[in-house]
This record gives sequence, structure tokens and C-alpha cells, in this order.
Amino acid sequence: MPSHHSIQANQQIPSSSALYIIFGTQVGLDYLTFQRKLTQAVGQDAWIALLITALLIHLAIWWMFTLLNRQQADLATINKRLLGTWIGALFNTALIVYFLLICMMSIRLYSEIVRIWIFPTIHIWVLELILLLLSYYLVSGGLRVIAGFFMFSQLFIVLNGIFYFLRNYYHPTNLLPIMTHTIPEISQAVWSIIPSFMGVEALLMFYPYLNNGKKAQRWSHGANAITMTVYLIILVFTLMFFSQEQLKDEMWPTLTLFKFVEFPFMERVEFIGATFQLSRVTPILSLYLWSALQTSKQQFRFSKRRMLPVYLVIVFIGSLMFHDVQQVLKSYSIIGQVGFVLLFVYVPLLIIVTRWLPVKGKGL
Amino acid sequence: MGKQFDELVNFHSKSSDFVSVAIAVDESIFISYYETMVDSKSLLQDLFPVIVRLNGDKIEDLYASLPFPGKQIVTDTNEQTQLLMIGYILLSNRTEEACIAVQAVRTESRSINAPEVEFSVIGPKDALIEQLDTNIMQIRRRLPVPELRVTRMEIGSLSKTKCAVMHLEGIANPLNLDYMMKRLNKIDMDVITDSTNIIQIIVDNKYSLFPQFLETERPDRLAHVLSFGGIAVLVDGSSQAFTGPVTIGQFLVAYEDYYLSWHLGSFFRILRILSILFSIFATPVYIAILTYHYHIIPTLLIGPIISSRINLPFPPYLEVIFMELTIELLREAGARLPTKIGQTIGIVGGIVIGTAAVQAALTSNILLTIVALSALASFAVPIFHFSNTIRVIRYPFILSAQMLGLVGIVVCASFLLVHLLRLKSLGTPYLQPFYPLRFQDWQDSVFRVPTASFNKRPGAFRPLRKDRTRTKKPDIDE
Repeated sequence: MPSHHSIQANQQIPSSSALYIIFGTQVGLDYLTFQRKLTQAVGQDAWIALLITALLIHLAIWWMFTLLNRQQADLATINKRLLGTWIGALFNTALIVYFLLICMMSIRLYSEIVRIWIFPTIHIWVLELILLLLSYYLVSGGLRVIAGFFMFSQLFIVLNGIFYFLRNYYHPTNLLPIMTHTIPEISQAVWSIIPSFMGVEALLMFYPYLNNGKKAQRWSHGANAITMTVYLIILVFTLMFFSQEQLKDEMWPTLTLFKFVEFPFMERVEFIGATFQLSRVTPILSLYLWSALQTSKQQFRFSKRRMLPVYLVIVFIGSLMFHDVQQVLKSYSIIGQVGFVLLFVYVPLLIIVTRWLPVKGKGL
Repeated sequence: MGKQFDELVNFHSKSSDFVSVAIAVDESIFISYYETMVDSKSLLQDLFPVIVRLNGDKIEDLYASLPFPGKQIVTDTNEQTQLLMIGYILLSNRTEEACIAVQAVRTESRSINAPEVEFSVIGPKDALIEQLDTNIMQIRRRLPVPELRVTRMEIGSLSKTKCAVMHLEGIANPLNLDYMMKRLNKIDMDVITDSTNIIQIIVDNKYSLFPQFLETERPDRLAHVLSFGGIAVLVDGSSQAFTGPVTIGQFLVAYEDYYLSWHLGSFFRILRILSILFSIFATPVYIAILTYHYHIIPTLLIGPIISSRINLPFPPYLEVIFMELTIELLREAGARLPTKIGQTIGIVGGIVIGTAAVQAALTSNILLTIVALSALASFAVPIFHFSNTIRVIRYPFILSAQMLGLVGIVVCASFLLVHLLRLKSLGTPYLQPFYPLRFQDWQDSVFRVPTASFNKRPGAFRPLRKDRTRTKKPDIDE
């Protein structure tokens, strides 16, 4: 079914851009920290939990598209349509809060990375201000520009080649034995890794802008598969590099891996690694800001251009409220689990409801 | 003589180069012209002998007996003035308002020379000149098909600059043409002296440092772009034409690439991309690493760096700004001076200032090398405007590297990327073929495929016909 909504052709983004947008938001900054949570729960069996989670997310993508293809609208419009003006407004306000919270956490997380790894004396607010200015410029260019930035920022995959230079330090026996953990333990691990796969929910907002919604489904599944592969590669190399006891205390395993790389012209690659996370966090920040703008536009008819500075100020103040990086990471897990509820409880509910309700109105 | 025409003559007679005399046997015919605008040789040899022998009272009779091309009957006073101003001769009898305009425009121009801005060692040696018709002729000779359409227009309320918009019917996208015509028609300015004036008025984003149209002086390049479906605009009095829409990929192309074998062409193009990146990032990275991230430098490398900076009293950023400005100064001085003196300045600056600055402990040897290399790299960009842009955008990078080290550089690069993503040329995304990603277009931007395999027009122009060949290559087993 071709999309029949009122987005102008020159504002649409190609359906293939779902690939890098979803991949980019899923991996985010999580690939710096996700190994620790996993190994704390299931040790060397972490990869099993990873595969299970990826399958779950594939399922979520599948029914997200079922809902979106049927309604041909974004989540905010669906809420408004199905739940009426008042309850719809309530749900959509919650959605905006959810998006803005993710913005606050990701921007604070990057600033903390810079403070921990590069400039121990920097003021967090300076960095956040610069990042927010950048995302103002990015978001005011529209979704097309955000998608473009996503594409370029995925070049980081090349950095994974760095694991080759650590070939003398690996212990493949670390991966053995296989399957020594119980099912409750593994499901515990799945629950803890779910936030690292979050990011697919942004699709609920930008779906109408894809020029072919049907085709985008394949790209989205592809994105999830690539996310899984990248996580798997990083996880396996991390497990082979660190002993499990080490890894349980290692807060930034990926950046620590970078530390061991040496070139004849460069040492301490983690400086480069930590710096370039900026190009990963900026599009995510912008996409969620955009999603919040889109929600308030659909629900309250607020102009995006007017609301953008308001949201930026909210994000700026909100992100300064966190005490330290531990709190940010903890909140990140919690918000990820809220996302899980959104995908695995709320969206299926909507599907069941829309099964019997006729589509009111057409498109946006 | 008509009353209106009388007024016209009086009005023009305030200029001393205006001539209006009665000739012919019975002094019944008035001839008026600007002597500085008409070709006096053809006036004396061809026109006068005929006119003197003319007879007939009615303008129509006179018109019929004139054996010249480019003659017309004009009644409107404004039109008469216009024709006078561009070098026509007006013939009038004493009775009627209408008069005959005969073309006797002085056509003096320089001959066609070899391109200087986009020089190439091999390939054709002709470039555009300041005369519009000659330029159109040069392009028509390369594309002798009736589909090559020329739309003429006049821009500038005082300068009345003649422009010609060219496109290939059936290949060029009408949307692009429409965009271009709309913007050109909207221009409201008094004097247009060069194509760059027009470009600066019609660009999509006035605040951008990046060139949003491709300026060229090579007719072969123009023909090439036209054949892809681009729109070319030629301006009278300007030896540079411009084409649109343009994408960043086109700025990596020197036209000589097409005359070299494809291996060499590809090699040079990749070299150019690297040189652009080097030119922008070399000195900022130097500042960032030496100021904040000296841990990155390996132990063996830190020795030479320390020994070259040991006598230096300045922090890296002052050193860099000093050297970068020196190089810019040398370039600017060299460009403003006559060629011979310019060369001398280059040598004096390069050798004397270079070595003396190091000995005087104003800069380090390593930095001098980096700055010189990045200046060289910026000159490797084939399009003049683009290479200027590359040199200027270094300075924000230098400042942000001083403020936030590598993070500053990445912030600055992100701003640059967002700017490029937002930029459009004639409504076409500027960052093609990188975003939107068109791998097919890489064959003529990032590298160059063999000419025979280059059988698809670049998608950036959104051409109506994509295939460059008439026959398709058969598949296996066909």
C-alpha cells in the first residue's frame, strides 16, 4: 500500500534511510557500555541474551509496521484519533516527556564521556550549550537533514577495524563454556540489554515521512540485524580481551579497548574514539527533539520553529539536574524499559483496538 | 520630419558622439547614429554609397530598396533609442514618424585565447571571451543539434546586460530550467558587469561561503554539463559562464581528467579529495594535539617535535595563525601584482620569510611544513571559488581547535556538515552524490570510470533521459 499522507515530495526521505536512522539510534552511545550489564548477569553467555533481544526487537518492528501501515500516520496522530482529544493529549504529553528525557540523558552522557576521558576540568554546561546550538541548526533543517547526518555518522563502523590491532591480547577460551546459565538469568540479561536496542520507537514518529512505508520495513529489519551484528562483534572481542571479573568493574569497556591500540604515528586512540561520539550523539539528540516537536505539532498545532527553542531550554536545564554519570546510566536503563513497555504493551494494544475500529479521517 | 523623431534627435544630441545629418541628393534623408558605437568602416564603404543614391519618399519604399541584412522599421521612440544605444543607424525622411534601423554594430573583441583559470596541459585550447555571440557559437559548434535551446534576456536596468540561458531540450529537467528562469527574471538590479554578479543575486543561500553554481571558462566543460542536463547561463561581457544545478561532486572535477586515461583521472580525483581534507584539518589537528592531547603523540615522534619547538615563545595557535596569515598575504600580494613582479614576490616570500621565520623563532619547522603543504593542497582544487572557500573555512577550525581541542574540531566539522546538508543549488541537494547517496554518480566525481563505461548521465541533474548511449550493452547469453 503506498503512503497516502500529505507530506510534500521534497520533504520526504528515502525508505532506505530507515536503515541508518534506526541503526544509529539503536547503537547510540550504548555500544560503549553495554557489555558490563550483560556479563554481570550471564558472563560468557552474554551473546545468547543478545540474540534473543534482537529477535524480540524484530518482532516489535514487525507489529509497529502493522500498526503504521494500517493507520498511515504517526503515533501522535493515532493517539489523537483513537483516544479522543483529552486522553490523547495526555498520552502525547507523556510521549513528549519521554522524548525529551532521552535528549537530556544522551546529551549529558556525552558530556560526561568528554569530562571523564578528555577534559577532566571542563564545565558540563559549556559542552551542552555547544551541542544544543548544533542540534538547533540541525533540527531547523528538517528531518531530511537529520537523516543525512545519521548517514555520515554511521561511518564509525570503520572504528571496529581497530580490534584487529589487539590480536595479540585475545583469549578465545574466555568464551567457553557455552550455556551454563539458567533461563531466569538469561531473561534477566535480556531485560538489562533491552535499553541498548531502544531507538526503534522513533520510527513511530518519522514513519509518514518515508517515501515508501512498505519498503522501509525491510530496511528496518536490516537495521536491527546490523545492530545485533555490531554488538555481537564488540561483545565477542570484549569477552576475549577482558576476564569476567575485570569486565564487571569496567565501566567503559569499548573505550578501554581503544586504549591498548598503538600506531607508529598515534597512541591513545581512545581520545579519538571518545571525541567522535559527538557525531553519534548529535543526530540522536536531534531526532528525538524532532520527534517531540512533531508530537506537539500533531497534538497541539504548535509551530515547530517556535517550540524548538523551548524544548532546547528544557533539555538544557533538565540535563544539568543529573548528579553524576552513574545516575545518567541508571535513568537511561529505566527510560529504555519504559520504551520496552511502549513497544511491547502499548503498540500491540493499539493494534488490537484498531483491528475493530474503522479508520477515521485520512492521513495526517 | 516627424515631431517625435525631432525630439529624439534633440535629446541625443546632448552627447557629443551623437551624429545626425541630412544626406542624399535632396537632403531628404536624415541619418542618426552614435559614432562610437557603429562600425565606421562599413558605414563609409557599404552604407553611405547606397543611401546617397536612394530615392523615394515613403519609408516603405526606402526600406524595400535597402540591400542590407539586419534592417527593420521602428515606430516606437523607446525602441528607437534602444537600437541607437547598441549601435544601429536610424534612417528617417522628413515626413513620417517611422524610421528604418540598420545594423552597423562595431564588433571589436579579443580573439579566442587558451583558458587561464582552468588551464589544462592537453585538451582544447579555447576559452570563452567577453562576447556573447562568440561564446554561444563555441558551444553550438560542439553541440550542433536543434535541441540546444537558447533563451535570451536582458538583465540590469542601466547596464542592459544580454544573457543567454542554454539547455538541451529533452534531456534537461524542465524543473531546473524553470527555477533558473524564475530567478533570473526576478533580478532587479541596475548594473550587471559579470556573471558573478548574477550568481550572487540568484544563489539559494546568500550566507553560504560555498559556491552554489559552477563557474567555468571552458566551452568543452559547458558542452559536457549541458549534455548531462545542466542549465548554462552565459553573460555578455563576461568570460565566465555558469551552470546549475551543482553538486559538491562537480567541484572535484578538473576538466583535464577526461583527457587523461581513466586510471590517472581517478588517481587525481582521489588525491584532490584527500588534499581538501588535509587542507582543512591539518593545522587545526596540529593545534589540538600540541595544546591538549600530546598523549597521542608516540614517544619516538615527540623528540623531533620538542626539538623543533624548543626555542619558540608562542603557543601553537598563535604560531599557526601567524603562518597561515603569512601564506594568505603572499597569495594575495602575488595575485594583485603584475605577473612578473608577482613571481618575484612568491620567491622572496617563500624562501626568505620561510627560513627567516624559523631562525627568528617565530615558527617551528614542522609547522612550516604543514602550513605550506595545506596551502598547496588547497590550490589543488580545480575550481577557483571552491579553493578559496577551503582556505577560509580553516580559520573557524583553528579557533575551535584552540578552544576545545579535538572536540572543537569535531563540533566545527559537524556544523560544516549540517551546513552542507542544508545547502541546495537550484533546489538540488548540494552534498550529492554522498547524500542522497548515489553510487552511480561516484563514477564521475569521486573517481572516473573509462569513458566507454560512463554511459549513464549523473542523477544529480535529474535528466529526462538517463542513457548516454543509443544501444544497450547486451547481457550475458543475449
